[in-house]
Amino acid sequence: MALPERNLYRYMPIVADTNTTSSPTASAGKYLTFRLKNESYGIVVLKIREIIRLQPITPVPQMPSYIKGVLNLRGKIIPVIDLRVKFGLQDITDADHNCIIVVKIDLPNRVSSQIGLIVDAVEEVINISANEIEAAPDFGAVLDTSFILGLAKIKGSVKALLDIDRILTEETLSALAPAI
Amino acid sequence: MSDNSRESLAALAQFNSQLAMELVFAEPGKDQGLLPVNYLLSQMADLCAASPPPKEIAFSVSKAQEWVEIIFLGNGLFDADTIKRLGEWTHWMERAFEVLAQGQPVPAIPDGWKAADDADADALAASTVAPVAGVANTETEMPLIVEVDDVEMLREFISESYEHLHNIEMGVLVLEDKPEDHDTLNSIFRAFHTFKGGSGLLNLTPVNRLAHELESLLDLARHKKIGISSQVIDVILEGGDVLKRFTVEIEHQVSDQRGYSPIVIPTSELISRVQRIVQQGVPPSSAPVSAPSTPAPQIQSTPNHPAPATSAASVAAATAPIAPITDTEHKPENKESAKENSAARASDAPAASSALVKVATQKLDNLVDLTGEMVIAQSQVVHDPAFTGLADVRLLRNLTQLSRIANELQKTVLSLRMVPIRPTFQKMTRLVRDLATRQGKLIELKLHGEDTELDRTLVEQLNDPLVHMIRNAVDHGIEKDVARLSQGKPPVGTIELRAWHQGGSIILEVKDDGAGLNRERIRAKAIKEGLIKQEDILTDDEVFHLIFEPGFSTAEVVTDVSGRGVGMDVVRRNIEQLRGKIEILSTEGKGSTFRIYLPLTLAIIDGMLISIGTQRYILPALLVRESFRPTADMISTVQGRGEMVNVRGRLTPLLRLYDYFGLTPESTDPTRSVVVVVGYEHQQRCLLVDQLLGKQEVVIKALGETFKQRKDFAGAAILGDGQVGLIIEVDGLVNLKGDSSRRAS
Repeated sequence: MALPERNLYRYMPIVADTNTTSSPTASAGKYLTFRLKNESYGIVVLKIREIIRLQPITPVPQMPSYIKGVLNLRGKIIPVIDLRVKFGLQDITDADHNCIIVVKIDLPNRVSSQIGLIVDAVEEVINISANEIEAAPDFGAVLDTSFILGLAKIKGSVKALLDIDRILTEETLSALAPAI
Repeated sequence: MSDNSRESLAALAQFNSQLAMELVFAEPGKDQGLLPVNYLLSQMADLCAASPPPKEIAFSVSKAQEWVEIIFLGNGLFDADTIKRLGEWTHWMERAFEVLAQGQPVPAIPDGWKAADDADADALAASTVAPVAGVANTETEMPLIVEVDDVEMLREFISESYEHLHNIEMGVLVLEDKPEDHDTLNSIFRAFHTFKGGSGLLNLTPVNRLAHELESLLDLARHKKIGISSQVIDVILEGGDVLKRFTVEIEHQVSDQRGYSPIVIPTSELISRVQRIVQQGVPPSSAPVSAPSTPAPQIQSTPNHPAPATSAASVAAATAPIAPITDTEHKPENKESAKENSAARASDAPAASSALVKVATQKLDNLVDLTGEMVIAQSQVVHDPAFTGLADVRLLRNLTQLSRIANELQKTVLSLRMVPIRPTFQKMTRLVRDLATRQGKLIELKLHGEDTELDRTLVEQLNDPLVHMIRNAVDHGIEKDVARLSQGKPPVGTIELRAWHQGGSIILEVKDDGAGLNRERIRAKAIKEGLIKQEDILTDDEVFHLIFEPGFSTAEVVTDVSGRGVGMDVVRRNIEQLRGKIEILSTEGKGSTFRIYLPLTLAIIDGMLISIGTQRYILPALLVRESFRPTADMISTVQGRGEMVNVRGRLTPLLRLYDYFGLTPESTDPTRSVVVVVGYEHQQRCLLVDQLLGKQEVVIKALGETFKQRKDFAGAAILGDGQVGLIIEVDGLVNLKGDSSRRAS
């Protein structure tokens, strides 16, 4: 907990760190970590545009439950995903601690767009070195780990590093069609 | 001729006219239209194989296929040369089918094709400079070799050239109506002169030579040594086209940066024609200016134009105004001043463009977004409870001032995307001229309101539907002069193209004084096609809208000209994509008027704000027919589920939006809610909503990749309080298949 989250708002948007790359496997570099319930996750800072407070979201009907809707980000409309629902964690609506991480994702068709991720709380930006990263174990059919790049063990806790581009993969996108 | 081959000829003619349509959109350096052209050609080849037409036709089809093949072997992009040649090809084919239908032999195949084809093949293979001899031309075509160290200078020449060429084209079209206009003549002369100078400086010899010849021609005209006949206009236009092809090719090579290769575009035939006119002189009134020249002058590659009339009319006669062919044709004062204006504007154009700044549309869109946000933030500040209690006059005054500036700023920013419709209209002038000449009709196109501004993207997307509609008016609307005279109409048909603003929309009108739509025949055809039933009673408007149904060829219905009809359904689809609608007024024998209503800009729509439960949605106001609170007896059901509302005698399906969206409404009882009727003439639907919150202009934003599969939302807008409201795509809702209750989550 290097930085209290309030301050983080002011530090965003984070300037891109050239040390990190966006290769499919997790590599050493700077990660923004955040909390979902009692689990901790990380996203490469390069992907992060800004962090905003939770604000009114307009729901879009007939979408999977983890797609909360759209919100107005300074005149741009961006979709918002609730990561807790997406990962099957309980949906706690403790508004005080909720915030939205805005990330830039590159979709498989090479279009890049921004999406908002609802998380419980943003923790800090940390440097993760290569020897702290382990490949994600295969849980078989129990758990889909395709969007987990690796696991980092920092100070006794485990942080799952996310491949945020794959949160909305082609399959998920087509599943968003109204015929659900 | 057997029935079989007649049928196959008719099919070939149909493909040919489709091909001509595709060619209208082909542009050098682009592949637009290439695949359809290729497809049509292969269809024609198949037909030729199945039931052999006269050997000339079969030969020319295979020839055209070869040309397209060469493009595919090359970079896969059209070049100006091939487009031109395919254009000539379709003309020739059209002519051939016409004479075949009359049982006459096919005209000879233009020799030029063979030659041009060789030239092309050579040019493709050529890594070495090899001037190619045209078989048809006695002279060797000189290849244009770009050898310039100063690329900047060349670029400047290219961009200037486009301007000059545009001025030439516009000027010539003015001249056609007003041959004695000295200013226009001068401006065209100057354009060619500058062209000549520039090309001389850059050693672009063939360009230089052609420009020189045309310049001398215009010089003579300027000094009233020759009159502006349709022949002269044809060579000037053709010259302009050839120069443009050169310019396009040069530009290509400059931007390509792969070094320069020789450009071979035949000019000697044109030059000799120009020289002949210069030598023999055309007496000032040898041919009526607005009359079309020979039906298909371009197809013969060996120049056999009728020699200019023998008369050696005195030079002095040139000063006399040219008599109009018919008295009924002109309303002098009006037209004079209109032409005066357009001529003046044409010469103003270059000066005006220098004061312009090119800005990436992305930046403009960002500006629009940010301004929208600023207006919202501003309104939030102004309406902040902390201020409302204050009675500080100065603060309130300043706040009002702030709102005014913010709104003014938003208006200005939105107007940045607006451009006048003039260039699109002017393209139509050329189109009408070419089509009329080809079909041997006398047509005058009148333009009104070219300065009307509309959204840039809208202008781009309007081009195609306008081309379709103008083509339609020329093909099926305006009759030939003989037919017109027998009906007591002036021989020259008029097409009026008009644009004006009305309320929040822009209206475009294409009006012709031709044959008009034949109500009974449209009806009969629609019954035959199963679109309507014999007993259906339709209003005029509903009947006319049938021509927009897919596969409903106006050609077979409205006139007997075969196979030229371009599906009007394309026009309607295009217009609807632009969130517009189309209206037809027509009187048989008097003419038709097509009126297109479009939103001023694609960025803003007039929205009807509705609420369902806690959510707000926006319906495009253009598609909202009416709204009311129904009484219980207005609603009936089919099989207990399919609900319908009796809207003034018309049973319209009811869609409970809360059901569809999976929301909790204020009330599920229709008599306590509001019914909104949305849709088009034939497809209407009633939507059940909680409340109507009012009309509001909203800026449309895309929903983005994530929701691109959603056909039921057109986008989203940011509402007055900064929240997002989804815009319902009425088209998507109206066409929803299946039972809505099944979709409820």
